[in-house]
Amino acid sequence: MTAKRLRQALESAAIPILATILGLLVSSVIVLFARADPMQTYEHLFCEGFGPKGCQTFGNLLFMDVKTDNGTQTVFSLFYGAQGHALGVTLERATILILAALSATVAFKAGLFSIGMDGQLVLGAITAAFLGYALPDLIYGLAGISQPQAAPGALQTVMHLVVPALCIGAAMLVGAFYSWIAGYLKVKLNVNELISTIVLNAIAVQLVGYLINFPLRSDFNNIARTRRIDDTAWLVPFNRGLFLNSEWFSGSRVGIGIILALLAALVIWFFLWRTTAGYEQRMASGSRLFARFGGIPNERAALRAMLISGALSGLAGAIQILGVERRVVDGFAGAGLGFDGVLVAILAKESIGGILVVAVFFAGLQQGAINLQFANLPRQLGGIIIALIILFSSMENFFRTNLARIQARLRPPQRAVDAAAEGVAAAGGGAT
Amino acid sequence: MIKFLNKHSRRLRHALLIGGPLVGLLLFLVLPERLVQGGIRLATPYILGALAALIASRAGVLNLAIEGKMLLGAFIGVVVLYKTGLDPVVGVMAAVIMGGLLGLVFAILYLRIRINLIILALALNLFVANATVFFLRVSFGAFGTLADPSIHSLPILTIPIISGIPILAERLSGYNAIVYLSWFMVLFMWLLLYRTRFGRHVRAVGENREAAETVGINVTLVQTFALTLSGMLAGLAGSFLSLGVLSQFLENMTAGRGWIAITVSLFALEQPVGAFFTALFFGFSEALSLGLQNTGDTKLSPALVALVLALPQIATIGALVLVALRIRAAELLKRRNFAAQFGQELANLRRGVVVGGQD
Repeated sequence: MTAKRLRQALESAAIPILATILGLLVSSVIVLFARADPMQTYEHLFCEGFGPKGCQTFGNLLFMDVKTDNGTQTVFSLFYGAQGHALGVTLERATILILAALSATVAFKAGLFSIGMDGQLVLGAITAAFLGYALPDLIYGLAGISQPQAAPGALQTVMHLVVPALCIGAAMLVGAFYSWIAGYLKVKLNVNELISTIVLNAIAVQLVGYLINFPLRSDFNNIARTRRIDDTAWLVPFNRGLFLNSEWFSGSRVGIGIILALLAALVIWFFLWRTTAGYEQRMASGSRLFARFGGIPNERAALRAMLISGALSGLAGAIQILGVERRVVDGFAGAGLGFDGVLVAILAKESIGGILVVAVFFAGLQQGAINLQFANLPRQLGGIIIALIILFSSMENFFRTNLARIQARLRPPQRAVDAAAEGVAAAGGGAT
Repeated sequence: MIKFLNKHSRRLRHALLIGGPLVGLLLFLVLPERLVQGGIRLATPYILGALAALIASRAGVLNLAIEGKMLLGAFIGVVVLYKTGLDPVVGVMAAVIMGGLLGLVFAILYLRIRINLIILALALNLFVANATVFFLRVSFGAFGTLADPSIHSLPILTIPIISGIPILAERLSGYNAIVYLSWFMVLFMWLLLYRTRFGRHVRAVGENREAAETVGINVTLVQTFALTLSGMLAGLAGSFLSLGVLSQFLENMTAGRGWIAITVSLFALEQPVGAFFTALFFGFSEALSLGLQNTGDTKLSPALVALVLALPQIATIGALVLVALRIRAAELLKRRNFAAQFGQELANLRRGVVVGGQD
């Protein structure tokens, strides 16, 4: 039984791995065009994305020789975090990708192709950014404290717990409401949700751009930005709070957000695969008519899916602001953060475990590419590699049919003994 | 609402068809000339982009890669002219050809290799957005902007007769060739869609793929042509941004205009002439919003500026709702007509004859 499961897992991983290899191969042509050595570039890219400080080769991603007082010592790279580990920054980037991808997955699983994550995310972000300073102001005002530093310790502690929760809650509500509009239009009027979310995205991006530039603009800085959120609303990063003395997290702003994201992943997995409501949802996506004959309330399932999806996008935006950026800067809306989430969800084939892996991988590629700029290669290389990997991995049907054809030609009629192993072998053969 | 739409659908359509252009014409003559010029310039990429979106959509392929194709057109137009001193027309033609090539690649990837349409479009947009900046830096050593004295923008044309008429001269004459070409393209697309064999095939494929296949239309060929044409139009729209307005390429210079063009085509129900007027509506509200921003009037509420800018988008949601209501109304009407015609027979059947024992 377990052997069969393992084989299935290997089989489903074969195409993404093949796609990654092909994507890197094609990108290496582009790297060559820039007169750089692809091998060195990739070593640099992966080290800066996934390796510890001082990582030089692919091998260093796993083990590294470290000079200590008494000679060199080989350490397991994952746990070697002197002066910071690149994975810390990668996880910081991955947080928002995971949440946006979960949001997309919930909608897709209900058979709704909503790509409204972008709009919901920026609206959630601006909500959290506004409440992040307005709410503490209000509380201080009510308590009659003019100097926030002089506030009593007890009040500070309570606020540290309550304010972020309220900000996140409000952001989730705003995201859910914005997503509900598209859901309502779909259910009541049969307006295509793909089209309505495209338009809603455009409206949200414009609205947030306006809010940053006019009513919420804090100073006359060249690039418009909102006021920085109050310290009590801040989701304190690990390296400032929880793991104060751990060097592993230094240089990264990853914090409670990643825990919330993992928690959300667990909850969504449980919801989709272990509850009646989630079952209704998945059936509604599988076959609308079947679901209706089975007595599943189609409309309710769709609306619920849109609400959950929007809330998750709002959460993603809120965490990005409360945990990482602490203010919204002009250009945040329109950066297409939500679209990245959609791509992650599609590439992960809507599986929760897949989302975690793909999100971290993409975040690492983006992060590694940023540091390539010091090696005189533009950081856009990361985006190019990701786009190519997505293209190749969505050629799945093409690969499968062609592999089957090659297999059939290689083997005369005699029955294949172990089809799965063969598939993996042929997939490996196709890459070379 | 549905009742109202059903009752007055024809009258409404006529009112819209006659009233819309009339109001437009009035505004066109009354509004200050700078606003009209700005509106028409801003509307041009929307006109071309919307035509690109609607020809693909009419052939049954939702083309979300307009943004990427536009950006590639803008990039290629400038790259061809960089340090070569060629005529800007060459740049525009190169942009059109590259846009068409990308459209062809899109068609092959979608129709032959069967990549999911949405993934393909999003991945292409991502690829073009990154690759243009990458090559800008690697090939030209430019950081986000490619400008050079050797790159000229398109010359301004003066229309012989119109430039003599006082009010029309400032409003209709003095744009570059792409602006006039875009108007011509609207007419061309209308003729193509409604007056040619190819256009009939395109519409048939978009309406009902299987039926079109059954009567012997080569669906793959029609969709490939439509996507290539769509890419060429988007490339032209992009070259207008880089060679028509400015004479340089900027990082991500389309700035979401491809997505707005898709919205324009949706608003216009995928009709070329409708897309023309819708694009003008979008362009004018953008020009108005910019104009309001630049008046320097501090009493002016910024909320008004933003509202003017967002008005077309909000109107689009309204239009989507109206279209949905219209479809639903048509369905209800059909059902009612059917009941009126065959209601008696149906009732008899239900009462008298047992149908499968389930009803």
